[in-house]
Amino acid sequence: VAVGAAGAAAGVLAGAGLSWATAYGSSLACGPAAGVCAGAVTVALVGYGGYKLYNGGWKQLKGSFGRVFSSQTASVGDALTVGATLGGVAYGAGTSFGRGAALQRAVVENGARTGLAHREAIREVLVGSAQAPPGTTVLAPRGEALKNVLVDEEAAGGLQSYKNLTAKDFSSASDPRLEQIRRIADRDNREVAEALRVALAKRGIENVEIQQRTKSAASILGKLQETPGQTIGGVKDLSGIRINIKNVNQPGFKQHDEIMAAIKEVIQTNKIKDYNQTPNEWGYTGRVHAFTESQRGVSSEIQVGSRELSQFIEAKFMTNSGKLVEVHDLTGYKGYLYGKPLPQDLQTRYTQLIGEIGRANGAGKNAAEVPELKAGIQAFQRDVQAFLNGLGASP
Amino acid sequence: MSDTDEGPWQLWGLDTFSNDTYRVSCHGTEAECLAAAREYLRELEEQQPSELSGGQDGIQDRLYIVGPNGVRYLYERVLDA
Repeated sequence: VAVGAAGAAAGVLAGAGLSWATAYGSSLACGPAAGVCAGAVTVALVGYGGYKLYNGGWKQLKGSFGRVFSSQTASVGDALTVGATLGGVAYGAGTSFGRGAALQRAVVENGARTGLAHREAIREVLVGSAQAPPGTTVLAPRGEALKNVLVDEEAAGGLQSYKNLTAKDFSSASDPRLEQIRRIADRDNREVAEALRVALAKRGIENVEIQQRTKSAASILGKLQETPGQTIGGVKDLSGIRINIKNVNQPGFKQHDEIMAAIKEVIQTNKIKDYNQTPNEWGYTGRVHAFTESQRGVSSEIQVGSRELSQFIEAKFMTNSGKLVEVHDLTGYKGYLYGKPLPQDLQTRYTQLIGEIGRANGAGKNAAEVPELKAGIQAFQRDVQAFLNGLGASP
Repeated sequence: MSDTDEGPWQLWGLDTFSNDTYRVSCHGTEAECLAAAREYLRELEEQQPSELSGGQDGIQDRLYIVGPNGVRYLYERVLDA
């Protein structure tokens, strides 16, 4: 244990100063003389482990350690990660630290036996780890070249080299490129949101709240998997900002228009969906969506609407078993997490009420100021609760 | 915590902003799934901090526990638990 801890410490120290791309790239410089490459391979993998730790990847490392040192099935990727971290630079001196180091040797020996160039041997083993359980970071088949631009992309802050990647290029949500994409998008998200705050303040628009989020790495992968062929460049809301109007007090969606004018000062919109002018097929209205893409290649969506509309759309209800559900997920409008959708008449009322809230806002009123609408919302929410109560204790 | 390709208990994410759903992980038991949800919510809190996203009442991703026999519910956050 003491030796392992020392090896891990050495590995982390050696790795912290390296990027994955740099370390991995250094291993590719090796030729077929496998033995000579052992040190470089170790440094590369230590760099990889260090990179993951340095970038908040403890979860993946922890998972790898857990699988290797338990009765669970460990993947090659797990063992390499653990072996590289524990083995540290000491591997070059011939010290063995269990399965990880043994697999590192296997890489070397396999390369020598089969006559593969060392880089191919490494790649073969790492790509083979694509069978690893979810949560294990592995290299995708097309990943090699992309790894080499990881650092440059980070420095440039752009997504251009990633734009054509699809779900096939990622084997899990813990692929570091997804995290890098998220980080780059997050930079845009924060900059645009801050610029919007300034622009709104300059115009004296204070009756708003701004919410912002960058699509999570797992969500980005989920979006790619949802539609075959979907590319990173095709995801239109890597960065999302919602501007909620707290109190609607002007008719004709004038507040929406003033906010949109401020938005246009900050970004160059490439598309605007004005659902106040044209509700969608199921009646969604009350919001304007603006889209843009920055020089970094980050796509952003900005939504402008009343806060009460957001609150109605995403209202939560309690089931008999004490669990929460969101009304939107009780409907058929992309909500399929919940197994028992609302009866059709309630779903129809849901969309009608969204439309009525939008129309009330267009008349310069909040829903609470329109007695029939207020009563309609209360009745709807009462009926949804009654429906859930009628389901019994499950779910 | 066991995280497998298949499992009767699944952790799903819901991107509230776009209304997109995505599978996070699969587990053998509800307890493991809840533990994964707790951990993933901590990650989300780093990726989509509540002070910017509005948290679980704003546009931070929601988490759903999906289990056998139609069990599906929104994970309630207990960040400090």
